[in-house]
Amino acid sequence: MYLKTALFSVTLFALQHIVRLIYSLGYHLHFYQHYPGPCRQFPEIEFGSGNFYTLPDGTTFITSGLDMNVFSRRFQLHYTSQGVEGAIYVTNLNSSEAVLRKLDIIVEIAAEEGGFSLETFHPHGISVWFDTTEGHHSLFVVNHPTRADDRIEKFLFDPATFTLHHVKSFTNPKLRSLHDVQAIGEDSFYATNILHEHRSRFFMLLELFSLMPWSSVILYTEETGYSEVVSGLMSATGIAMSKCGAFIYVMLSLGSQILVYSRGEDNSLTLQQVFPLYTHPDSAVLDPVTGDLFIGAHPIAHQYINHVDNPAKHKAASQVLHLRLTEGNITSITELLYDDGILISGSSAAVVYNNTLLVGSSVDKLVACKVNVPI
Amino acid sequence: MLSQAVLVAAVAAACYGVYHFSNTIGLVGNYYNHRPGICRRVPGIEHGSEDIHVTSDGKAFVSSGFLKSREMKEYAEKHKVKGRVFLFDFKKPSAGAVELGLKAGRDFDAKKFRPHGLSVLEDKKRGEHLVYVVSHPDGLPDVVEKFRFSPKSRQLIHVRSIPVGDKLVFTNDLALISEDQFYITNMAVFHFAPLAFLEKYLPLRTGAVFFYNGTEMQEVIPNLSLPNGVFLSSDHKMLYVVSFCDKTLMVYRLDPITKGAQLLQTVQLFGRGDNVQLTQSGDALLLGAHPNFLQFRIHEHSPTPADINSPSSVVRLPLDKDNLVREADVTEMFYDHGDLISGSSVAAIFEGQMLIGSVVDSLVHCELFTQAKS
Repeated sequence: MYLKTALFSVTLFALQHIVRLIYSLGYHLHFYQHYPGPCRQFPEIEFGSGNFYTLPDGTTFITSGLDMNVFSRRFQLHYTSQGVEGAIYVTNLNSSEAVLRKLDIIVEIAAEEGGFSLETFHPHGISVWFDTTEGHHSLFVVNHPTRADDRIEKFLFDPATFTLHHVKSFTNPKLRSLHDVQAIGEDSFYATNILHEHRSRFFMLLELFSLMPWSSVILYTEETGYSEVVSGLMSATGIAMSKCGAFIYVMLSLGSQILVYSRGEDNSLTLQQVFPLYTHPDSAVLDPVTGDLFIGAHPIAHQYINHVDNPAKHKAASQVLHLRLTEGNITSITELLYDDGILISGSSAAVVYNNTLLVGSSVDKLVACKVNVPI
Repeated sequence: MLSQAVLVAAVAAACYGVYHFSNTIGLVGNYYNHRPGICRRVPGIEHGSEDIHVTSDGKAFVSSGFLKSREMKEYAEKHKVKGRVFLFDFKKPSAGAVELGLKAGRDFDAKKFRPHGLSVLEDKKRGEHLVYVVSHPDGLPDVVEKFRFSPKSRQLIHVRSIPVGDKLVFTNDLALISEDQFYITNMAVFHFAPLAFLEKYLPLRTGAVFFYNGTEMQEVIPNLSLPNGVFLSSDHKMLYVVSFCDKTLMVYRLDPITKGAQLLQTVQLFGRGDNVQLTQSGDALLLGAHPNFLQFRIHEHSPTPADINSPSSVVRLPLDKDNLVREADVTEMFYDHGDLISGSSVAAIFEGQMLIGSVVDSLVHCELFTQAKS
């Protein structure tokens, strides 16, 4: 008698979870394409331009060559067979014809066991800190080194020679399956863990599809070390900070939301606004001039999942959203671009500077469009 | 055992039916606002701008004052909503929309005029264009009113009322081949209220496209579900018909002698399309559409439609050299949640500007930043 009830309840629970998952995969969704102006692809980039950071003068750093522990074997084979390398590019959006330059990476400390090595470098999220006293730019980059734990790498940018000097690696058990990083000082940052599990692909997929809210935001400062400032999130991906440093924006991809936190004196985060998004945001890039946010998103989840498994075969729809902020809160949202995946698949980041929209993708191309619509 | 199987099958069929119906009425899908340029409402238009036709010299004729339900008739009397035709000159956009005086003829009563679709036959020499308007006069059968535009007096002089005949119970839009020769869409055949209700929501295929040859109506495309907007290609060889219920745009090749039509292409739309119009250069179609049908119905039937938002969408369908739609290059030019304009039914482009009309709401004018968009 009770067994029957228990069995029935469990089945019902499992059924509703499956229906929820199928709905969130977006098989029923249809959207029209539209572009803010004529677009072109950058021929130099074939395997991703996953995340950006733009400086006030238009200099934009782009990470490329993403690979993660959670990605499938088929993807990893494709990656190695195509000779894809992890790299960081730079471009200046101020010039009308933005040109890409790959940055040379110089490793100061020789690659020891577990140290930084270019061969295992798979960059993801990026953030730049300008030190006004020293007058140099520090780049913080999320790295998914092959067969090792995720970590944050710190580089110093030399604009004269277009090189990056690797200075430090940040490793800690609290840094799990990292996605993005936001620098808040010369040696301090917030980082997002998209998942808690970071080694076994099987358990990572289980965590993802069970919709368990085990994603978190980690804070690191020299004084306080590593601490978990926000927990209980549903797959946090991108993280960005407002121009004044008072607000932190966290993108929840499966949770389809943007969380706005106000930042305390001690770097603690207090939830200020929950903004529902009916799409899956990847990264948010701050517009250094206006302070607005641009988001690369995956509107149709099943397409993105298939695309990341087999990029050569599956295209994924791309979407760019423009968020306007008032006193830290998100007050308006417009869609700048929607593409079925032919121009660019799996858009993960975007920024507008000088009437040019730059759109990056997790494992596909890099695209620049002229912006002929009001921003 | 058999009854259980039948029950499961029935439940499965019902579930599918609910899913399909919810898809067609637009319950799923969330869209974001985006505009092709700076857009503003054209002042003075609050009771709809259902159909627009632009002449080659940039004069847009806009029909206004369409009513759908009985509640709206009381509202219309209270607020003195009249059936009107406005003129918007794309070459002088700051002048806004000017109401054209309707000079009554023998059998034309301006008080009963309730315009819906319209079509214009251009007179390139003297500018005395012929304007045909589908009208649903209160308590009377539908009629097509034929006017001559007088550019000097800014009036529409009534020439003739063309009765549509009793086969056509609810007409929508027309497309002119030449004087007194046009294609017209008919959406309903039932007078009996319960059947008429079903006809509006179920794909009963009772609609049709007729051809008027100057004296009588001839059915040329039968078995359509709520055919809505209709427009001709620039060479008059192709006819574009929107099916409101099926969410499709159909492309037909016309036979110039029999006036018959052969279906060449069916384009699947994602919202409920309303009226369709060629752009100025003739290389694309512009479609006004309702992404959320349920919301549109509530908005359209409300006695105060301005208080109820309904999403609006303008879709651009580029044509290839054979005047067929290039489906892979279809883009959406405009989407609004309903704050700027609700229930968009039509759009027209002329020289870097776009005019968007709605069924019972405002008229919007956009300046397109991209110069080449025509």
